[in-house]
Amino acid sequence: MYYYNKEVTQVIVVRDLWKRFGRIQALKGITFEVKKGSATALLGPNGAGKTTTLKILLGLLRPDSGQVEVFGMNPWRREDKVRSIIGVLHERPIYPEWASVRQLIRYAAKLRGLGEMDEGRAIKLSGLEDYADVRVSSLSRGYLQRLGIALAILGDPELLLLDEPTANLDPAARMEILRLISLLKEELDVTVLISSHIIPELEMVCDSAIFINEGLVLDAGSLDELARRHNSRAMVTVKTKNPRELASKLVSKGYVRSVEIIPDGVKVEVVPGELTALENEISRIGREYGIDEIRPAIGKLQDLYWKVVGIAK
Amino acid sequence: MLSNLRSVISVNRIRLHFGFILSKHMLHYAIVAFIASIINAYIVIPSILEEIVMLSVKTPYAPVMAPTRFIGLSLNLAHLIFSIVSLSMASSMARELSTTSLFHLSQPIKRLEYALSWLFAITLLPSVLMALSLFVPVASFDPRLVLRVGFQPIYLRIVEDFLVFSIFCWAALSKRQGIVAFVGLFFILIFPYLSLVLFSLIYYVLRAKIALNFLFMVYEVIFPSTAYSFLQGSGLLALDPMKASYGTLAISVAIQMLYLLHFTRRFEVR
Repeated sequence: MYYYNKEVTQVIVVRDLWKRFGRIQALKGITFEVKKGSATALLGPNGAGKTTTLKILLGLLRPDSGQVEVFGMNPWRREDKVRSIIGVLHERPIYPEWASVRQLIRYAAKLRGLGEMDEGRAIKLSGLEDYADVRVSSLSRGYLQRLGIALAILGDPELLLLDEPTANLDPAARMEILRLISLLKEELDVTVLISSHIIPELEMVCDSAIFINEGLVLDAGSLDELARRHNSRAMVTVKTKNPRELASKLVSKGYVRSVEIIPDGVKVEVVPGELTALENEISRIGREYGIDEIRPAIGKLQDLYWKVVGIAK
Repeated sequence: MLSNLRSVISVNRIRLHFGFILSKHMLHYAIVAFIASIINAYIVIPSILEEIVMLSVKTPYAPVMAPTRFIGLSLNLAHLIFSIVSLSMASSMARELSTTSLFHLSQPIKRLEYALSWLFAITLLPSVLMALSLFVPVASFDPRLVLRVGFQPIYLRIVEDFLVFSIFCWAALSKRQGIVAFVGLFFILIFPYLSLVLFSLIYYVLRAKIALNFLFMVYEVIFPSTAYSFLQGSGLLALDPMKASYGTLAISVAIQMLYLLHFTRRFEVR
């Protein structure tokens, strides 16, 4: 028995949301939705309104006007219920420095009605086992980020809100955190909304995007939809057991600009607006070439970002 | 009604956050309460014993007056010690609101529950500790002596401090420790005594006794204990101290309700 609608198709619904801080209009009537099970990138330059949006979704800020629903609930009014199904990692979190890692995780776990098993699991998943009894004040920036991840994944939340999850981390720690996010999405079917500036990293985990600038949503949708809409350079990765044969088959097609053979598949660049033609061809020859998966490839989101945000500027 | 209240707040979450607040300061407060108890034991117990001895003396002359000054001294010491406890709690709250409230309020806890646990830490805890530091040493010496402790002065002191501590909660909402310290010093050391000096000046300059009566009435409601200890026997007390304390309690509750309402409706984590 759940106190929220677990069967919703749109986990987040935001309509005509406005928020002002003194003389600054942070949000100017933004509207977007986040589909259940998706990993959505919230993209935009500094001061675009990304963090404000995430804080409103958590019930930390009160909207001036507009509709906000998380699993069908108003986050400002049903703050505790909403937060009990959301895991959040803030951009620059400050934790009580006098407490140990375990103390903080235990406190958060108890507030969620969780036990020691969940606490131990979060510590293990975030790689904090050796630092569990260390004071927060002694943790490096990377380990503080891991602590944030541990707190965010406590009790398998339905929705993860991640604000700059890889900020200030070294490349190895970045990759580890991104791997963890992908793992959570795939294993636990968590819906993820990630705000970040680092587009190549977002491309590794996201399947849809919301472009936001100066408090306005410029465009939103799945990466494929966006690529079609903006005639973006469309690149897809096709996983197949016969990459060479598939590459020679595809390279002759007029809508294919280039084909690159990679381990376990091929990377195909398609003429803008012709992605559907490639998808139709793949579904037709899929069985013959042992195709397992087709997914957007790196390069696409970056291209889209400049098209959408660049045009707006 | 209880089930309605339970649907609004979770006692368990308040307890958890209250425990988290205390876990940082627990040792310090235990030491403070212990020292206050020892000081009170040295002042109050001999004072009560002296009173017992003096009352048992039979003389053909007027009855011997029981000394109460020592309890007054003990109360003032306890007031000073636990005002600092309350002030440091309010200061911690101000610091938390400006730093780690993002962590706390990102967890499944309501703003009302969060504000309530701080309210308990700033007002209720120091008041309870103050009462305990007065009664526990006496009771551990001889439980029968508890009945001989003057309840009215202690009650008035606790009620007055309850109001002042409630004001500290509002000061903490400023998120600035400097403002909390200023408000604390003003309400503990300056305002109660400075206003008495001002009233005297008003009286001598204007000779307006009616206005002065009204001012004293207001003063007694805000500071029933200070008014009682300074003005007792002077003929300047405009109200019965116990009746004035009802006003003090009503103002304290109103301040606390407004604080909770403000926190629930307006407080945002930016």
